[in-house]
Amino acid sequence: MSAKDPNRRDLLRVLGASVGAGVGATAGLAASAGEAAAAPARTRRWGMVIDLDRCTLCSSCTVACKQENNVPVVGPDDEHVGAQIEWLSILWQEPEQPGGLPQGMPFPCQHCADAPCVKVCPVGATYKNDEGITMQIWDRCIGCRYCMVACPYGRRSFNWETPRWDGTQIQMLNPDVATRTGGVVEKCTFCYQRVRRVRERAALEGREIEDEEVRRLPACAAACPAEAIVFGDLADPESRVSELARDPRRFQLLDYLGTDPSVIYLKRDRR
Amino acid sequence: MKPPRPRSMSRRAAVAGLTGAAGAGVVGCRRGWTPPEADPTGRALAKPHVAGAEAYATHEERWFHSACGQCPAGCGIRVRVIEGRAVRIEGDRDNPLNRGGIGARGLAALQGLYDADRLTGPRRRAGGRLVPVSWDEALDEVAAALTALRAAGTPERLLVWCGHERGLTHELFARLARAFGTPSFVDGRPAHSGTLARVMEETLGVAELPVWGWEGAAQVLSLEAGLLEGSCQAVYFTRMAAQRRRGARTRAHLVHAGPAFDLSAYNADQWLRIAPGTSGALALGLARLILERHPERRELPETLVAGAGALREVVAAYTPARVTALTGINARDLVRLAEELDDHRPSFAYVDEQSLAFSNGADTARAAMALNAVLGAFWAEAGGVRAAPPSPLPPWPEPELDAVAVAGLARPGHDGALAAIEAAPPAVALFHHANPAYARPQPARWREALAAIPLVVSFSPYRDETVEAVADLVLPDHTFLERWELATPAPALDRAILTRRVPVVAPLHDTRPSGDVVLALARRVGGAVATALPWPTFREATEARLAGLDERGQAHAGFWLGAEPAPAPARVTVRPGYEPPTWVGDPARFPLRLLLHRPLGHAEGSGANLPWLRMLAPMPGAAPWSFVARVHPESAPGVRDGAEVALTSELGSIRIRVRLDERVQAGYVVVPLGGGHDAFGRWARGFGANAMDLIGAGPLCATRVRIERGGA
Repeated sequence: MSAKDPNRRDLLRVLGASVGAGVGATAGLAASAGEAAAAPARTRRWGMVIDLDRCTLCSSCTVACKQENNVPVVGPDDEHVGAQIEWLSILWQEPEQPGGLPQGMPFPCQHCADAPCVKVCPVGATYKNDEGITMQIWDRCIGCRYCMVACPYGRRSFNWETPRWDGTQIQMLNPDVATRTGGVVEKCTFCYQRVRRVRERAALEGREIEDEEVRRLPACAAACPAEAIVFGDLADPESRVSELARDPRRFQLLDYLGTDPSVIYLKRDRR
Repeated sequence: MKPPRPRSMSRRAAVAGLTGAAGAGVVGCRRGWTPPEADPTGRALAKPHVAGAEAYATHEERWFHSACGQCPAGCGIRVRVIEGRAVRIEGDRDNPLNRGGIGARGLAALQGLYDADRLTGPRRRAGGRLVPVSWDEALDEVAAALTALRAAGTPERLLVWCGHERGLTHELFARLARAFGTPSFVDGRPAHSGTLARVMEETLGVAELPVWGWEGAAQVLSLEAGLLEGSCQAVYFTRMAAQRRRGARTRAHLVHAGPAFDLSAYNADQWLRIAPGTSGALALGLARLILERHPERRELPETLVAGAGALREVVAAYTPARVTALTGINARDLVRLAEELDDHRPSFAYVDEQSLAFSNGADTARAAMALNAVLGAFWAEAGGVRAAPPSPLPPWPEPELDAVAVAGLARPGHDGALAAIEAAPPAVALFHHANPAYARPQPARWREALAAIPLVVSFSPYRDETVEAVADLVLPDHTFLERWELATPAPALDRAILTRRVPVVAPLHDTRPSGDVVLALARRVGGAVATALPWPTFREATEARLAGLDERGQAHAGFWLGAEPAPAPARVTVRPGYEPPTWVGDPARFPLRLLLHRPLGHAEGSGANLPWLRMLAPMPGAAPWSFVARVHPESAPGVRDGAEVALTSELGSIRIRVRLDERVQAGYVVVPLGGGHDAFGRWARGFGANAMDLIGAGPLCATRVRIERGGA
């Protein structure tokens, strides 16, 4: 497999970066040549802290994500079980002890620093961008679903059929995000289109991105009534997200795999 | 592999043209031409034209400040509109109710606006089918029927039924009913007409939901409430629950007494599994324990709490042993809870419509208020319970009534009871944001009863059951994103909020705001009715209503915030008591008791046509799109988890899948509301089952049922 062939993988990645400008423009996601010129001087690592003690599992984040990213509705028939497109959903864990209570958490792509999905993609459709986000170029995806097998979190979804937007529903699609077609894998991008907007605005105004303007930037964080989701630059020790990420309650999902997720959870506390 | 998609419109068109020219003989041209509008995922992605787009430059975006109308919470929203199309809803960070957060229901409003199954214009029933009709014809027909009623001196034969929406449109309907002379005005807003509002009037003198002082509370006891799911202030409560846990200097403690594991139980620091409908006894038992802790203090002087003497006598009977027997909560937990509530003040006991959905609902509310009086929660300094702040809008001057109206108002009217409507059907019925043919107990009987009414008019923007099954005329309203509205959200803050909704997009279809339709009808009826509703348009009625707005308070984009909280009354009145809940049905034939609850996406019964809400798990841990009855394994012997069963009561039967759940109180079955539509669009139809088929008039949770394997 390609994972055993670092040279080929690197080659594909380089190819991906060079072709990315053209293809990405259609996908509305990858950095364009114009943006490359305005690229930040220092390295960023966008990340997210989800405080499970604040989260009430109201599910606003999941709906906001679907709205912002044109995530198609799949279901409700039995044949669609397991075929849901979920960029962000609520993960429920049944209790280990009988008589215990289940625990839930909002569950987006973990944007691993060492992302297994990137390693296996044979066509460079998924890649780590220079801000730490695991991106996906829809148009390049050939639907092999290696990434879905590799992702230990199961945070990738496959379009088993071309999504439909019935009648007037098409009017509400967000023009900032390309729709996907059948046979393509899709995933959370940390609402990269919103990150890019903020970056462009800051560049126009000749300033750095402020931590304040990105804390609730992704659609899930913006919608959260409990303000449980905080977004920001994990590489900036002064940012709110870094401050929260140092909380003693912090944990990362499946941290023993060494994927180093950029989504950090804070433990729930019930007394 | 599928053949690659054509790259552009022109190529696609060329291919289509070639195919046409070469006829069927061309090999390999399997795909026909698809117009871009029907192929949203093609590269030539083109949205169909939408009215209002002309006012925008190419890709121009505007943000509108408005207020959500999906549920009574009335959160502030900002809507992103690009080229005349609403593409995004966010919470308004300036609004003190939601501070930028927004509920799933509010977000799903876009799907309501762009619902593919909306009514596209007025309809009249002809030959059993709804056919298009012009607005003028439709209005003339309703006006003629109304005029005939007044000419015959029987204005009371008009039934006006308004659903959950709070706002000026509701007020206009109420004013129309009054000036017309009918006492049959059904106010479907739970905040005003529900059990809790009645008890609050008795206790605090204000017939509205109270303001719960979450901001400063140290301990909150939820008594079987739908705190974070079905509550009409769920977004505000969600924010407060998080803030009181992590954002405040001292951490608040939330205890939830409830019969099943739901989001409120999940979020509580402690979940006490309680026998359903017995939280009144729990409140009285806690009141007794707290009073016992302070024998030396006179905490409840009669001068402040009317009924304090009687309270001491009533609670004396609720010993821990008795409360344990009634509620199933063990005595140790009771004592500890009483100590916590007493020591961690400000604390209060919270109830809502879900707590009061039993036959003893009013008693439960009174018991909770008695406990709040014992806790000193009323107008406690930092938290506690207060009366809703008065509406910032000055009361409307009473319309001048003519002789016909005076006579009509003096006669008995309908209060929404099915039996009365069956016995004496009104001549004309107007339904605004109400769908009794689905949402009331015994929908089939409702349909028959409504069929006996000569003229049923629905104002629904959607093809709901009342529209499809019984309406003779449909005058579809705009959705809230297309029209003006002035609304007061369900009380949450101690200061009044008035929200102003604005049209963010041009109307999609040939619909009209119901406020304008009411004014048009009043003009056509003429006389005193027209005089009572003199404004040419709803917009002007809005301006007129705002003209008297008190200068105190601040105006913001999208809302107005009052300056003063509600004044404390001289004394509060408590009338504690407790009766066990009663259940209809023969226990031998129907061994289980039915608990109905409003799941997260319910949106006051109107969320079923929105797939984003439909997808939400109706209970913690459930899969998307699931719609199941939950029952304790011991209560359904021989039934396999996930099996479809028949749930039968004396009144009806539904088929539903069962989830065996040890976290449900044995002897009960928990069923979500909002399923089993046979109309209301493609996403609602045929999904789940309507538990309203099982219950009769009266409280929501008072019916005995049985489970039969293999379906009905």
